Amino acid sequence: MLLELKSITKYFGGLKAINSVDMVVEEGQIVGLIGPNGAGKTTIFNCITGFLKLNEGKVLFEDKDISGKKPNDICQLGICRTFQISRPFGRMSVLDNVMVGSFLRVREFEILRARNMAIGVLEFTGLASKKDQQANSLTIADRKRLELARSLATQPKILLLDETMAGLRPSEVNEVVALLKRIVKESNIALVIIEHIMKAIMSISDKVVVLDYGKKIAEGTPSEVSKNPSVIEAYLGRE
Amino acid sequence: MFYFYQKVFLRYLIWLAMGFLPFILKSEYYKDCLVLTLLWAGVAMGWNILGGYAGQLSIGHAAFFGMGAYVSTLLYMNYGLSPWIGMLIGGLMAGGFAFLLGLITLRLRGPFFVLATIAFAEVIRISAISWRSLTRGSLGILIPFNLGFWNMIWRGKDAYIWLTLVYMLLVYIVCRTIESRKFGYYLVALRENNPAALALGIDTAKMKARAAFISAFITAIGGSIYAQYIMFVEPSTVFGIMCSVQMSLIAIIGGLGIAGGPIFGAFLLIPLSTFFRGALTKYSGLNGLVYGFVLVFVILFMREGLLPKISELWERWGNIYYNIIKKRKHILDK
Repeated sequence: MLLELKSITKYFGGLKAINSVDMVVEEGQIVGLIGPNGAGKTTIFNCITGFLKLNEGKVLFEDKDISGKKPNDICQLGICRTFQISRPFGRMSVLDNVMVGSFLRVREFEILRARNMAIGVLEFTGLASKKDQQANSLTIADRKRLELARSLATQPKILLLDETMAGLRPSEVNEVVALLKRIVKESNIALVIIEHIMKAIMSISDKVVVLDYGKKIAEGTPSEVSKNPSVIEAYLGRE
Repeated sequence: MFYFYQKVFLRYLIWLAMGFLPFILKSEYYKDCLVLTLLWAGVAMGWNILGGYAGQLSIGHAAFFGMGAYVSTLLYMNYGLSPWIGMLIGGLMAGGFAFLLGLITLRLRGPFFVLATIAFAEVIRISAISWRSLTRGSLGILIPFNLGFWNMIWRGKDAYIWLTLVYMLLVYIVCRTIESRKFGYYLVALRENNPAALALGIDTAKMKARAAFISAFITAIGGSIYAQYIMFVEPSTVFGIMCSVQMSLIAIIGGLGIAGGPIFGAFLLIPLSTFFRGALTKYSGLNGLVYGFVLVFVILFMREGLLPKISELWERWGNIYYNIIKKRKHILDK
């Protein structure tokens, strides 16, 4: 087991944002995390990566307890996340942005090595032609791509992708799906994907976990989950 | 790209030219202005490491400037220790304070961090005034005129021009080195987007504290040099808020987060304030007004700073010139 969430619970004051959620991610697996808005999906990401502290439960990475560690330590260990609203380093170039990622795995003065690693990632994600452009000036699709490239540069073992395809046109969505498939195939990185675009997530995921009001209400293969009545109810509403 | 190599060449040319300045400027007045300009350029570049690259705007750096000035001066007056060594001790002390303080205050957001830095400098200033047995309080310390290299005291101003030029050059090299390496990238990253930086494995707290250390060290050394030049230290100048504001202003006007920015800022602001103070004495306070106008003008029309603006204009005019040359060639070839 690469990543294991054991009965994690998070309160915001009196509100149980995450209610005793269990989840397991294996190496090289693609897990889709879906649920209505406000179900707690991003909160789970924040809890895994140390941006929020758990109230109950444990997060185990490679069988070691990482609950309570700081976000930068968790990235060092191999868990990297992207943000729902992309956070580029605006006044740096695209290449410099990705270099910030690749610097994690090199020493202080190995600038050229970091640069070459970054260029490699840019070519892989299709951003190489824009490498000297200022990150501020990128389109939304390219920003999302940059966010992905930057986290890839940290050589993670597992990537937590928060709505990487939100706001993209269908053609752009297909490009991202193809890219993600390549990532898993070529580097065996596990992916946990939060997404609302059902077609994309169902086509790519090995298994899907469904959240509603902070609780896991279903888990299984894409086809199993899409037929689950409580999942359908969660999305289409209750009487 | 035609003008890229021109830029690099120009940069080295400017450094070379500055080395000849002591021979060009004859009057003591201009030499004094130059010493202060070069010194403040170095100090502001030191400030820029924390304020520009890391984006932590400290308006209390006078605390470190004054620490450098007082430590080297007191060690010299009481123990005869050469200011060359004293300034390093002052630098380490300032750096240490900055590092520890940084770990505490750098969690504070925006305006609160700025307030904390102002408060810190004020506490140091008031302590310096009150602790009369150590610092002679508001009376200040007059440094005796004992010539000698090891005393860092020379006759005339030429030696000080060399000293401050070397200081500025060394600080510039430090800034250029930082900005091209991992540390520099991490500082800019945490300035641009702190959560994203954390998510990419950057220990933002430690990076900020480290930047504070380096920044304070450089500033303190500047303070020591200042003490040995002016030969007089007292709390309200070296620990005062005007000192802090001046170095921040030079960096901000010149270009935040750019190695050479404060150099431009210093060469604009220091001569300006010096000349206006002398030239516009007819109407009292007019110099302040003009200075203020210049500041507002720069802030309104050159928001990124002087150096970026000049760089941009250089590129634009270079482009236009290049196109004219190309057109001419085209017409001639026909």
